[in-house]
Amino acid sequence: MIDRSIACMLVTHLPVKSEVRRYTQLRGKPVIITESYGSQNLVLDSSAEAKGVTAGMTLAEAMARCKDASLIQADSPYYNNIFDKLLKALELRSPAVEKSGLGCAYVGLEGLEAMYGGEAQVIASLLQVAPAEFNPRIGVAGGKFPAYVAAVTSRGGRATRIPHGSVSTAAFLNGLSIGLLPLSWANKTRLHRFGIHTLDQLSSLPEGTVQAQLGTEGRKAWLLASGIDSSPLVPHRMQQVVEEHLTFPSPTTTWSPILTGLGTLLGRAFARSEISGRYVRTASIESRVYRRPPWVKKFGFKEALGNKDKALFAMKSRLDSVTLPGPLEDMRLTLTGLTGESGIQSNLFSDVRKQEQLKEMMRQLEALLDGKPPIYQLKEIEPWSRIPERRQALVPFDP
Amino acid sequence: MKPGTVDPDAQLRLLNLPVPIEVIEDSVGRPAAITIPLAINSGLTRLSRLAQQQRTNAKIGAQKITAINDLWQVNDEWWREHPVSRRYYQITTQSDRRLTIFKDDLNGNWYCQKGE
Repeated sequence: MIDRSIACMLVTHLPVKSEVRRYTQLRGKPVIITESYGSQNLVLDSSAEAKGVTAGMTLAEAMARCKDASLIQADSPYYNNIFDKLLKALELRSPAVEKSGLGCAYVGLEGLEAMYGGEAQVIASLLQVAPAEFNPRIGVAGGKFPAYVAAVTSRGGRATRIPHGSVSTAAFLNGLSIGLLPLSWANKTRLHRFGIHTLDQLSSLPEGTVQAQLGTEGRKAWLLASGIDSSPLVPHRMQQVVEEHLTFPSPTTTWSPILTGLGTLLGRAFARSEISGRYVRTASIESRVYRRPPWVKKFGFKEALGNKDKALFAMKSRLDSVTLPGPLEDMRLTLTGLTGESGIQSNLFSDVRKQEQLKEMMRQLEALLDGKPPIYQLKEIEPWSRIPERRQALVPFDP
Repeated sequence: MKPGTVDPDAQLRLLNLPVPIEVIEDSVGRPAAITIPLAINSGLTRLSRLAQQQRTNAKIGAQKITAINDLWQVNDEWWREHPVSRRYYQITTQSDRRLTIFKDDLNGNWYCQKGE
């Protein structure tokens, strides 16, 4: 088994911490962040002050338990943006950073100890990546799952290290809940019904028995509970992004100021030095909507675009069929997929296809007119002739 | 189809065939006024023009030629049974239309022709 060293950086309750960072008046108050799933409003996250409220609970139930809580509609683009900034900062410290859901990232530590002068210095450097109010916790182990469990069991701003080796890892996992395993809710419920509540209870069962009951997911869970996790660290691929933002003077639902704003943002973005002489493949616009969840619209261009006018034309034509969810308060434009080349892939057999289409069209016309259709093709006969009627003629069209 | 006959669908349909017109000549044989079929004047296609000519044989009144912009002679195919000898004029009529007409030197008739 490869001797690896992986750190898991965990920022718990990232949505709530992000909102408190944005609206400081929420600090120390009960906050519930809700997200709509169809007709249902569910709790995405809640602050420690919102007693009895947990993620996944319906809003009605949450309000019954905590009447004084401030309700906030989830702003997922904002949370993702904040977490991406954290990932970027982590990538400045290690070349191997894997994003694993909102608030959780794995960092490969191989080779960093010598650079920082020891493992403790590396961990201290990782803890400094996030602002103090995010209070990150870190777990270090030989695999991703034990590192995650170590991070979960750490206190905020602290780190826990599990000695390498499956035996010591299994010993660390003893007594911890099976709720930590990446299992479906149905399988976790089944394990609880079997009386298996902790990781050591699961690992004490024969591997085949667990697999027989829960399938491949069960076998993976058994290995993790036994302290064996050989899943590779897949570095997060960070792409270059160009962002521009504006706030509307007042929330607007009419397209005229929105398109004007979009044109302004595109003008600013294409004037940036990062994009100079390059082309853009994708774009997205995000807007906060008055008393509604944020609105996000993504655009993938058929060919990479190199200037504002072409991008505006392409985006405008797609927005024609869009219905706005409500008054937009601001607009953030993000250009991604920057490339140095632009081109269109043409069809090698386009002539053949065109010929087939023409033949089909003639067949249909023949059937419709019950005879040969009066369709002719212009042919050059004697284009050099001084006599005009000798130069060109119409011949019956036969593809 | 009998051997030796030609399928009408397979025949070439020549474009820009000359259309007979009436021209009043001046003392030196140059065109001075022109009477053209209504269908040519209205800009119809050849097929619909012929159909309309057959139906009505309508013509607009004589129009004075205000300018001869260009003229040239075409003598060709003299080795064939029906040689070609035409004197072409590019003219402007009083209604400010530019037309290309020619006089067939062999039969003395005038024609209007596109494609020049």
